[in-house]
Amino acid sequence: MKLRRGGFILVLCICAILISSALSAKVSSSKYTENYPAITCPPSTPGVNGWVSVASKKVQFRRIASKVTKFATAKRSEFSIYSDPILINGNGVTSVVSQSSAGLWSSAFLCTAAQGDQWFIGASADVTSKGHLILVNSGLSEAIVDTSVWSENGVQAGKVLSVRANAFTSVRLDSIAAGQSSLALRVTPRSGRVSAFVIDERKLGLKNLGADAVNSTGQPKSQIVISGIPHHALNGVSAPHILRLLAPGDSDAQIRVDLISRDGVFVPVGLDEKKLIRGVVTDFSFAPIISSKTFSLRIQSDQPIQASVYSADSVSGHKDFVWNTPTPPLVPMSIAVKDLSPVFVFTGDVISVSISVKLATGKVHKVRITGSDIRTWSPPKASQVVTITKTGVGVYGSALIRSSNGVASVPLSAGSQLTRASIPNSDIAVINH
Amino acid sequence: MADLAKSHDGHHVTAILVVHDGATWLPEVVASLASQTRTIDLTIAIDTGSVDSSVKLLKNSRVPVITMARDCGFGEAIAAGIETIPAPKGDDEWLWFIHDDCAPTPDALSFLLSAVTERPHVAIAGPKLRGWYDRTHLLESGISIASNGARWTGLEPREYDQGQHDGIREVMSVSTAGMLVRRKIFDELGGFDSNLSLFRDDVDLGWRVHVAGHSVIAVTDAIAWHAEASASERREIDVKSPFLKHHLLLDRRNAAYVLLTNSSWWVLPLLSIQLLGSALFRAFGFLLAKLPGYATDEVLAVGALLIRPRMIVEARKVRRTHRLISSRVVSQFIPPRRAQLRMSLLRATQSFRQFILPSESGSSSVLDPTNEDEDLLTPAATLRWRSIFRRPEVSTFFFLFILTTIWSRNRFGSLAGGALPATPSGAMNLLGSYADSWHEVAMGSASASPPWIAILAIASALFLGKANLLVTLFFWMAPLLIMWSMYSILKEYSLNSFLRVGASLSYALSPVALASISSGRLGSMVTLIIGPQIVRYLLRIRKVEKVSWQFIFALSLLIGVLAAFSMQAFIAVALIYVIGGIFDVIDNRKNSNPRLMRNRLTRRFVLIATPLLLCFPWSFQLLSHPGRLLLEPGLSIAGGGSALAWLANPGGVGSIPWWAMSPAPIILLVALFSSTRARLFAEVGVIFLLVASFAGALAFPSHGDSVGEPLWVGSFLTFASISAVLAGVVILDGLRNKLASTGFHFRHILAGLVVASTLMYAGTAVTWTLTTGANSPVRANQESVLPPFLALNPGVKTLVIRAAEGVNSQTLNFYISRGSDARLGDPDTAPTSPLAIDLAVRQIVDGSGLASSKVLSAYGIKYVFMKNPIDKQFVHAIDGLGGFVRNSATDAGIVWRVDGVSERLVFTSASGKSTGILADPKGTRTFSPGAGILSLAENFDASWEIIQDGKKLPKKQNEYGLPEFAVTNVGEFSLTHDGTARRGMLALQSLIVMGVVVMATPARRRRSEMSVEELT
Repeated sequence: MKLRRGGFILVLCICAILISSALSAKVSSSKYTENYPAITCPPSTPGVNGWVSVASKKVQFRRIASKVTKFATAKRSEFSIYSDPILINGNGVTSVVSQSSAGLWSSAFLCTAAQGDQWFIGASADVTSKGHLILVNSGLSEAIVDTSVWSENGVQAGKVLSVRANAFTSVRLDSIAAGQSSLALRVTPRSGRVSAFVIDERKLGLKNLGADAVNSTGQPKSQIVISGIPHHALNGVSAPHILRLLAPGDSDAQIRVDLISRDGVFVPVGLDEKKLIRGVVTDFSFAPIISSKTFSLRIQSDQPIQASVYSADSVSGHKDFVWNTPTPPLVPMSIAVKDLSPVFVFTGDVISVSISVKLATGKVHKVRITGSDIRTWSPPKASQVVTITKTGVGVYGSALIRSSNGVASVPLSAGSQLTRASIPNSDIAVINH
Repeated sequence: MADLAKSHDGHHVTAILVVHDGATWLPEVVASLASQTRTIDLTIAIDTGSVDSSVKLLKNSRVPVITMARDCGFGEAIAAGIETIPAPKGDDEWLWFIHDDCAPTPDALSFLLSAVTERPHVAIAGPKLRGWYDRTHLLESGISIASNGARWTGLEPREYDQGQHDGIREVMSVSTAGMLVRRKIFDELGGFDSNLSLFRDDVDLGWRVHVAGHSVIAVTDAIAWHAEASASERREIDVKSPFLKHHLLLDRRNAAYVLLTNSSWWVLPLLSIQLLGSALFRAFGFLLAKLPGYATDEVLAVGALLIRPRMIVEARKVRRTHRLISSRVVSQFIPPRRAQLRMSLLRATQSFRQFILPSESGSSSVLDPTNEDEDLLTPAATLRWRSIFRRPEVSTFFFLFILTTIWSRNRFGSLAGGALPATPSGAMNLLGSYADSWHEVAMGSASASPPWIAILAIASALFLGKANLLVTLFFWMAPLLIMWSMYSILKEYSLNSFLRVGASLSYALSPVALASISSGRLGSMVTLIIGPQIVRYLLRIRKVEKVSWQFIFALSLLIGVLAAFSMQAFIAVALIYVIGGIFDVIDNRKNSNPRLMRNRLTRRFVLIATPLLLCFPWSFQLLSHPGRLLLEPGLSIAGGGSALAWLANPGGVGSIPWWAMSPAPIILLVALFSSTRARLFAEVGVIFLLVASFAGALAFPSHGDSVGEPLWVGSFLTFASISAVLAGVVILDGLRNKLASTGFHFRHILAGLVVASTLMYAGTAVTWTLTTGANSPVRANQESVLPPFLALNPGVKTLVIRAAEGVNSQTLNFYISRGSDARLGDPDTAPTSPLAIDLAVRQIVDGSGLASSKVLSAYGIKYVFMKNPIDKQFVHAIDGLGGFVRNSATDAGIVWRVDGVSERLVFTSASGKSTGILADPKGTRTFSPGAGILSLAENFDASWEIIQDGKKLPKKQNEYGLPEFAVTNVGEFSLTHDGTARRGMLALQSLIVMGVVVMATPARRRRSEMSVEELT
């Protein structure tokens, strides 16, 4: 009797444990919301034509500094930008602004979401400089921005700039660091929703020397890859490039540079084991003798550094230059390329990139790029959006945009990252200890 | 006619014996008169229509009898008797009034006369009266009257006569039982007042004697035994007026008459109010004591007198003629109020003590065998105080007191934390929050408050209204109360005091007790204390049909208090009743006694329904959200889940670790195989473990929460623990002898296992409480969540955001504060966050909320506060969004001000301009600048009203679901929340509570129901 009772109790307990385990509500307050933040595209300065490539005709946008704060539908996948910057509703596709001064130069900006810290390694504030720092505040309250400046003479006095709500301001570079030839800028918003853009325009008297956008980079790193640097030779002589470096930390840095091209990987002459003095922007000139029209640089340092490459070019008989900025490791992303005809350059030890191209007709074209060191690829004509669906580890990419006005380069990095945040929960325990 | 010649002492005494159905006492009375050492000069008897053998007894005793009508009053009888004796010729003629139930001692008259001989100013002298049946205790030694009409003897109830009141002293009056009065003065004053047929005529006469310039003395050497037959309702009241034929009514009426006719005129208004107030108060008390007849008598006595002022006026005229000095001459005999209060408290204490600890109404008798010499020789035993600690219960309680004091070292002060919000400082704040129709929590709520808030507020009265002191002491003393509660019931299961204290100590240190106190679970703590008592009474009412209704309602009241704190515990108790009901139905099928079944089911239904009614309307509101029936007061903090529940450990923050294995499951398992009644306890305990395990797997969102937390199952585990303790005690009681008398057996192993697990757990629990356990979530004097400057303007809404640990990653939680942290009662009435605010906050977090500030300001939220540790992504997002201006960044966190008009009341003109209007939280009266829309930043509720020019403005919900009113005129308006419905429900609840209390309190007995030995 007792054994039967014991057995019954045991069975009952096991059933209870199983049922209660099944009932056990996995209470997860961690539901997530995913969203692409809105991205800001810079305005066109007077005399400059600018247009933006967007993901589709249905993209929502509005003009910053306009009284109208409602978003409107683009109705076109490429449209002009005038004197006001625009704000594009987040949709996961990085938009590209292409600017050109007819017959003089062309540049390309990535439209980006408001960021905390933006580094601009490039531009100049000397007598030839007509460059600007453009600060766009897409938020609804005033923004305060700190600018830190380094030059060949070390750290310069920074400036604190304020930007009104839903407005932008354009500051001449020579007012930030007058007379300095080699600039590195750091823009840090204290408050507000700010996107910063730098355009480096040079003129010597009435002679245009070209212009280009200096795309922003992230935090200093110990290994930097600058992909897709355009190269040409003129009369058999390799065009010179300038590698601009900055060690913004507290220690000097030892750097090593590898040039990656179809001709192989080697250290350019004069760039082996160089020393960077902390806080001083240092330019190294080099003219690699290579046959390919593009190459990449891999810079390794014992300290976090920033870098970019200034490449002079000649297009249709006039001079232009391009600032090639570091790219982050390639991740799945989408970029709008309507009417840009870019050349994608991938750099890496083992390159394996799967690409999906959406054409203007609506068709989708898929391709896989494989190889090593450096590979280039041009999307088919009438491409609208190029999506990198899968990529190997340690692959870096950029896009070179050539036009009759000049050459421009944009790093392949997402203008806005998918923001995944836990959905906040209402809980009165918040106001208890 | 009798010879009125004086005796040798110069006095002539006529004894007038008034008889009314006094056959019970007359033989002794007559014998006592006959045996007086100082012979009575003349004895006459007045019989007022006795229907027993009184007249025959008197005639046999050869006492002259005068017969009067049955409804003849005492005074009238005396007057009739006096008429038969010759007129007085001197000052030394005395009348000695004797009741038919009053027997003076043989030397009583002698002492009385010797006292008055020496005091020629004395008009009345009276003996010391002792009880007829208990002749050792005093009844009266002089009497007076209190300002509320009560008969005042100055003695304690059943005061033993040790001569403490002996001596001849002046008094206001003496009882007519044994009263010796100078005849001349008696005649001058007109004798007894004819309006006082019975009761209080003695007090009236004494007052009039004093006012006429004479004295009244009590001579304690003269003793009389008095049965107080009329006062103790042993015989009927036969008076002329049928209206006055109730003892209490007549007594109270006459008392009021004496006061109103004899007091100074200028105190009459106050006196009338006092008499009426006292009557109403006593009537209320009699209603509570279920004596409606007495209650009616109290009110009618005074009321009937006050509506006949003419009688008072005439009586006062008569008295004026004999008054020589002011009525206030007797003020020295009127007891002061504090003496009355002290006596009332003494009587109440003795009644209560008798109720709690009834003792046999014993009285010592002279026949008790005592050796007085022995008393002198035997030294008095002195109690060494150290030996008290040898008693296991004393030493264990002391040990637990030390342990809990050390454990509570971080909990001395204003407590908050865990599931316990901060306590308001005052009881009135708590009561106010209970009675409010609108609760200012977040966006506001009209939910009914749980009754435990009112219970706490009322209990705070014991601490001068300091609610936080009550809470602090409660948390400190809770283990002792828990242990005491269990100890008090274990006496029924074991005589072994070591076993009892050990078991109750293990209950006080059980995982559920430790976790409840550490994490601030008020409901579970109350369940731990009350639970054992309820189990005790539940076991008593297994035969529920044999239990009185008074007991049923008293138990319902206790369960109602428990339900107010923990509906989970109520469900546990209801479950037992339901199971009992099922067994009743099964039993009826076997034995077919539908009447018995109906009786049982009715009583069980009352036991379940009454607590729900006591908690109305809150309990009924819970029925619309059944999940909340399982929630406990305070914040909804996660429990430990179903797995821990099997170990009788509720888990959650502040709980003892799982590896400190509670012996409860082991005991229950062992007891399941017992052949004693331990098996019954084990079966119940296992059922509660099962229920706790199921419930622990569930998650319900509480008030104000959007996500549910794993349920806290403390109350279910409390009953499981109680069952385990009872089972353990039953098993271990006497086990030592059983084990010693048998060979080694599996029982030895099981017993060892039980004892070993208990000791191991006890050691672990003690160590834990002394070390880690002190760092409980509930702590004293914690810093406010909000920075001080946000609390400067009460009622200003702040959206508070805090990082919290989610299941897989960190998450953000938010809530709206109104200038303060959560207070006691807030989590139980908090509203759910509006969807618009949820969306606005989500959009801030993901950076897409460009319009979030507009939404927040529409809801009246003025600030956003991100408490440290801050979430950088969130800070960056909100900084970038716009519409939020950073106000401060301190160690506490970051505060942003929300752009826009974010007042609680906003006026929007026809042109679209919005301006904020200052409005008090509890309604306001202010000015509207013109026609437009008034928007109120509170949750929509039909009771919100704006009244302008005597009319209610039309109301509707705006796009955010908030109330808005269309204003058409310039001018003043009033904003209120109509609390009529809430007040009505509170009134109904009060009536229900009072009704149940009346039904639950034991009925007092009428004096006629008490034994004469008790009374005299």
